Amino acid sequence: MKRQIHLPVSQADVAQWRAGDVIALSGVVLTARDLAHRRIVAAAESGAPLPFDPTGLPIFHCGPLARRDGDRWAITGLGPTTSARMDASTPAIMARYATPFLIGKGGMGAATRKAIVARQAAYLAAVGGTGALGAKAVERVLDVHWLLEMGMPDAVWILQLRDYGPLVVTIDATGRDLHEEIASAAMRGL
Amino acid sequence: MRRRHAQWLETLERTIREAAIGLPDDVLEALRAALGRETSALARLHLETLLENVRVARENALPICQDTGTPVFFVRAGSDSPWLADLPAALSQAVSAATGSIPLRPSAIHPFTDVNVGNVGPGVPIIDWDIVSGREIEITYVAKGGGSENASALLFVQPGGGESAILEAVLAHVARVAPRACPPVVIGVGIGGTGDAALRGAKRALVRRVGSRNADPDVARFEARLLDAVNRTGIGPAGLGGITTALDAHAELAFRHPASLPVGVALQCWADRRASLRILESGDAEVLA
Repeated sequence: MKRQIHLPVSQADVAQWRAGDVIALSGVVLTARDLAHRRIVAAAESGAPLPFDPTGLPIFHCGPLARRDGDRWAITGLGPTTSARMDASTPAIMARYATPFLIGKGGMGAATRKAIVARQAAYLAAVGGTGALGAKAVERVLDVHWLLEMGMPDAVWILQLRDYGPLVVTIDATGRDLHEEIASAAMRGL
Repeated sequence: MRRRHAQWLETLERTIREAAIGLPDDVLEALRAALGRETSALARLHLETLLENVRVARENALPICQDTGTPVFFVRAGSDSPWLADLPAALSQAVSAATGSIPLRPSAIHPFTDVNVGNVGPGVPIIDWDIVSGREIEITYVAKGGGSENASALLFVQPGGGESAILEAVLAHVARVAPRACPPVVIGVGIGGTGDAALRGAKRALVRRVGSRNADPDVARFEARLLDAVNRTGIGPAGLGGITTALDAHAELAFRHPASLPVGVALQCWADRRASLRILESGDAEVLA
């Protein structure tokens, strides 16, 4: 039932993912929360170079829990944070860095949904609160940026994942949005 | 005396660890019961994944969630305990120690500068005091997730509408915010008092055992009605549909001013992490089941 996806994927492949599909993900992703989004957008506006290249990497809305083991980092908690906080800054970042898809929880707003359709991208919902399972899916910490300035949760972590899931496609390239469907039905039913 | 102090301080750290890596039995039971009821494939997948995560966390001594939360202590302090004066500093010390030893994620951030200082800073950990008579101290530690905390609200309901008006207001709020609070959630409602008292009542209601009902039969009925209504919204686990949006709803009631009906609402994510301990007069301490 879970489809294995190995990164990188072509945008044409992502465009075929449909709301309700369940995925297990292997490959390199970048974590970014609201502070990192703000900083990435500020760098783009001022023309300052970033210390990492987000081009083509999936963005994971996540503030991991990490432990220092000698000269390496071990991730001891990995899971999604509420994506809605990143809604405003996401379309610009997706356009500039060719973000193939997003991972988070709770869904996004209309701005990002539009960007997802325009770019034929997708949004994948990870299961909130499952930090221990997520930690087991981290093969390696490839890099971490802005750790000292922004702290552990808000730093940008570049992670090699193996078999991370289940991830549910909840916003797809056709614009179908499961979060929005369920939430609207709930409000209508009151 | 110092050795005794060290003993309960160590138990305090163990209590925090217990809350971080394991769920209380009542919460686990409620999640299993939800899995037994749900028929939607996505709801079942989510509940199975939550339960699998709890197992993996326990097996590997890993925190259940990477958001190890804002540390909150609910203290029932016996007025004649010899350890009262030591307690505030000890709670901070235990959080610092647990942050290093478990470890917990540094999650205390200056609101102006966004600088992350760890888990202890001005106002953190959060301590809720309740002074009772006696020589013992009972403490419940709660790891309060940030996503679910954003779902808190202080509502001012039009006075005079009674139970139904309160129910409607709380239901409308919960239906709007529950999808982003890692459902199935636990709901705490503080009815009446002043605004601050209503929110405190909501938080205290939140830490009650899942499956428990208020001793006042009228409030108990309100809890059951609210739970039923929230679970009829169809929001479900992770907000992707299902009949389990909340594991339970708890309410605490205080009398209101003639002109005012404040209602506090607090939500906790499915990872309702809490653990309790008792500090005896002797300084011995035990983690409570």
